[in-house]
Amino acid sequence: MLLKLVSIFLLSISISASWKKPISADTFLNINELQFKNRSSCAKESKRPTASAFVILNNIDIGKGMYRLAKFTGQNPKEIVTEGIIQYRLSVIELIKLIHHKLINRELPLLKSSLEDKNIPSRYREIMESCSTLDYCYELDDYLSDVWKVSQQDDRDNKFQEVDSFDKYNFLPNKVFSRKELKKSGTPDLSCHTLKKFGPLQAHLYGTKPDAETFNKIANTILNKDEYLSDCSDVNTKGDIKSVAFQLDIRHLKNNSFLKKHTWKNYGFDYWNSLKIYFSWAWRNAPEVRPMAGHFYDLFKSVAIEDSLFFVSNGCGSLTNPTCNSDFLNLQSIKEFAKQSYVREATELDIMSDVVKGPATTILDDVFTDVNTDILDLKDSKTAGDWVNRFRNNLTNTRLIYKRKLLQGLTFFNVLTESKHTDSIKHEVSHAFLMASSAGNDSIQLQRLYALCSEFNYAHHPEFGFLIDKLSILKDEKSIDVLGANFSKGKISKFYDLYKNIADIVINECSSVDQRKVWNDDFKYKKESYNKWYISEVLKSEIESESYDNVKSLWENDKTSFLNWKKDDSFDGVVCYDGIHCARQTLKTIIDLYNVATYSQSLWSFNQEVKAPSIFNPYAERTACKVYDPWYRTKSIIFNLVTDLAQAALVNINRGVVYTRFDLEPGKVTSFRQLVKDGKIEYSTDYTPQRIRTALITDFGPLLGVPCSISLSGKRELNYGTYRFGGVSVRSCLENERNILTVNSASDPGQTDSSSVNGCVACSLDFESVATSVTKFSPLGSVYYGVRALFRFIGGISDKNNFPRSWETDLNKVAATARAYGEIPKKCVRKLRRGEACLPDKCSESVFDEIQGLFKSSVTNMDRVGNRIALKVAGCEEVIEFNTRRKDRDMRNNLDQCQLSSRVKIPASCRRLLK
Amino acid sequence: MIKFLLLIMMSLLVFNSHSFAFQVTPNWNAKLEKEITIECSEPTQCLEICDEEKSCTVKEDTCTNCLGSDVFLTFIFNEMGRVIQNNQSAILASEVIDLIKSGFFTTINSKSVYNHVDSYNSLSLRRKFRSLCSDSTQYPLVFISQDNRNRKLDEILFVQCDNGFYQLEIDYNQDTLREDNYPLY
Repeated sequence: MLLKLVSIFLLSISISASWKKPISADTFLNINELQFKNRSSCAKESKRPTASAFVILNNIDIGKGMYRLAKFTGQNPKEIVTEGIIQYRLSVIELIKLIHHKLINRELPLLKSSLEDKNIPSRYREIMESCSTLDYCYELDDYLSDVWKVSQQDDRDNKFQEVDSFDKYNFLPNKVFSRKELKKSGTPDLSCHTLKKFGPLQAHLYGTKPDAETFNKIANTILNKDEYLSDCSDVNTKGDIKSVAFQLDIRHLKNNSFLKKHTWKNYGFDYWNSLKIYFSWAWRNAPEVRPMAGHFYDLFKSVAIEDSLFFVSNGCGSLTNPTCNSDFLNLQSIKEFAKQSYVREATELDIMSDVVKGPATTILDDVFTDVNTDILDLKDSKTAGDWVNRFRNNLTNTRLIYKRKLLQGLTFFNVLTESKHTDSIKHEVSHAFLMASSAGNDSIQLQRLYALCSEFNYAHHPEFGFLIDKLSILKDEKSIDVLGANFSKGKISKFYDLYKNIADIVINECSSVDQRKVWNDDFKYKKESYNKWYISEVLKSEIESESYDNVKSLWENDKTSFLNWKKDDSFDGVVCYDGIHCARQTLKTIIDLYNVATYSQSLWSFNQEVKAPSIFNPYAERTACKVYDPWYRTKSIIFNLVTDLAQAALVNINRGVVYTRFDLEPGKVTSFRQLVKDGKIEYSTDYTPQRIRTALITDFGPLLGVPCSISLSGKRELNYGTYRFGGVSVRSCLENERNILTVNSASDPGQTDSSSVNGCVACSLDFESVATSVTKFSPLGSVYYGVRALFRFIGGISDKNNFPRSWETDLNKVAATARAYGEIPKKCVRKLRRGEACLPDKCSESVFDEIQGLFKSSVTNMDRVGNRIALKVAGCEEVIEFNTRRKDRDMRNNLDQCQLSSRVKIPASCRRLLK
Repeated sequence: MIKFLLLIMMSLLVFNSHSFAFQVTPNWNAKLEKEITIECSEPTQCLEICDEEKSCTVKEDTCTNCLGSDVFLTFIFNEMGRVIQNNQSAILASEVIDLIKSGFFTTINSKSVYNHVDSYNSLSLRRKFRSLCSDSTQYPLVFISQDNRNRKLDEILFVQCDNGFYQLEIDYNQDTLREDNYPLY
């Protein structure tokens, strides 16, 4: 008895002095371990489903609707908007939770993410296959409705069979989640937090290998966690009314070590796929949403929810299985909108350029991009809402620009089609050439004709045309037709034909005139005469286009126009001032529509599901497209060296197209071009492989280190000689004595060089960007490749990012360590990186997991006397005791391994804290 | 037979002459549900809709994706009165009744909750809508059909002016002012 009293006395002394910073506040976080990964490891992880995601919700659309509704009904807009937005946020989260629970309780079947899987129910397969080419899949709505109805009933197993041929593989199995843990803990298996601020709780997005400083920051954040996050039910609009971010963590996955989560690996993508499809349907159709939405139900139902809501992976794992196709590349390109630099660098971004190259360009342009170094500028935002707002603003504004291009483009082509004046354009252009020869060298008309011919030659010339392949994709393009279905009388294929007709006319007119008569040697073209797209695309200049002003000044002379809006006699009513204007507008507009088609999937939702990109992992698409391979880095370095050096040789000797065929065993690393060639790139199943191949090769040539598709020929009959327009100054074939190509740039024909190869040259790519390597077919070319090859090789082997490394950290253990030592000591860093706790007493350390797992709140202090451990948990002042027994001795680390043997004392006041 | 035809023609004339008094007014009720109130000129009209003689109040189901930046809605609010025009063909009240009875319709005017391109009831928007009516209707009401399965907006149908309902059309045919200048070629 006396001994026991002494023991308790000693314990109470030791517990009060054992941990240096035993802050009593509850810091327990129901959040998954942080997964720190370097580049290569992150690339690997992209192939696995994540268990943690952000939910980004834009409130602007619903807010605008509520504001107008309040105005209409004479209510207080501020009150209605605030009340409505809170309800909106709660409804979104409640519906996510509902679907999650239906999935894990097997009340709803999984909707398989890949139709290549086995065990796809037959009706589901049929619907998904038949709907892949449709604008809207009514059958999917019917299917989801049938499935959802069964989910609300008893005896589901039999009733599900009436809907489709489901088997046990179509439901989440027990083995994914730890049922025992679920039952014992009573804590939600889907943990949800409202994010107030991004910070050290997302440290894995800021850096790769965590150090003591990182852990200290994490610990301090946990001690002040209320500043960073709160429960999902806390959705007041004080933080930000325009948008909100939530963090979802799926808890209690079996084998709580991320790398061992084989079951989640097998089912995770199907889980997320199900969540995003069910959500999209249920938001508008599930009866459960009505009570969630209250009296805002009607408004909520009419929100374009797929444009307002995003699920975003929190880290390197994915929500959507990465595949190298246009859908996924477009989805991934969404991440650009989250960058702080988006507005500042918008003009340099492909999506904002006048002639886009497409989302694949970015990954080829910047293969070894940064990852996990705050790539989306979280730290620049004061609150999580600020960050989401930036993302939303950039997305919305870009969508607005594209929408304007789409609407103006479709309206222009509809008006032009209705006017039925293609022939008149030919007459106008012919007439303009006729009149131009008598005009002075300084006339606006002469400049306009020069610009007309340059622009069309660049775009549509049968040999040189840089845009021919790109624009021809519009023949089979569907997204424009879907977007304009309700108001455009013609399809995009018809408009493309109209453009082609006009382009053929212009090319013919330009080549049939005697150019030296029209533009004699005294003529000096003004770059400003070109349209903006040509100035930026070909001249790579930022000079202001004067084409609009030129047309306006001509119109002010006679106040007539070739094609005019009815009832609008002002200049704003001019559709085309004359044939030249009409033709150039046609080209500009078809390029705009091409741009819209290229990025439409990034900006609009065409599928009946919520978008779920991996925006924090740019290697998801690089790995999927095998541009970057996390496993075969060493091979990749050698591959680059070999191909570059071989290319260097080919540049000198090869006549014809310089495309090489290289592939290395084990064969994972290969060029994008090779994948295209092998048919491994699913760019779009709608197009013939040959045509896509041509377009992609044309587009990606320079990005692959191949300057362009070069054809060398000494034949005179190619007759390229008459072109004087920018970028095509190859007069050489007509003049044998000067049959030399020297193109410094499109706008700046250089001096001839007699040491270069003789011949006529057609280069179907942008002369400006590849000028350095195309300038001469001389030994310089091989030097360029040789140097680059060496540079890449040296850069590659010294790059430590490309060998997979990862670290895992349990936030609650970081907090416990900080409490125990006052701050994170350096000696604890290794353990914390392994996801372990680091406590002064080794026996306590070995049972920390088990003890913390028993309580809902955080362990705030802990110590051991003999075989007894005493501790305190937040929310209870009294000491809790456990008996332990020696488990074994870890000889390697010289640690005492204990395990709990019995509970000695749980004071009554602490029992409520037990799970 | 002739008598029968005359009877039909007479009844159509009578019906049409009264159709201007058939009036639809949009509203959002206290439960924040959208509805329209129909004032009937003929008792049969309202009886057909709601079993009342003078007026009916009918729920107008919200349209899918109408709160957002839907491209078709942007087109509607931008091009109202320009590409979207009243072609002066009168619409019979019976056609309006049929549409209302189907339940697949959306009404919009310059006070629409779905307007995301301009400020609420802005002057420019009012002008655009007013240009649809030749009389001085303050708030012309445009009817758009909904897809009867997914409730997305489908087709622009007609406009309600004070003096009746008129068909709307998307007209891209514009003036070609120098069309006559080509005999030279």
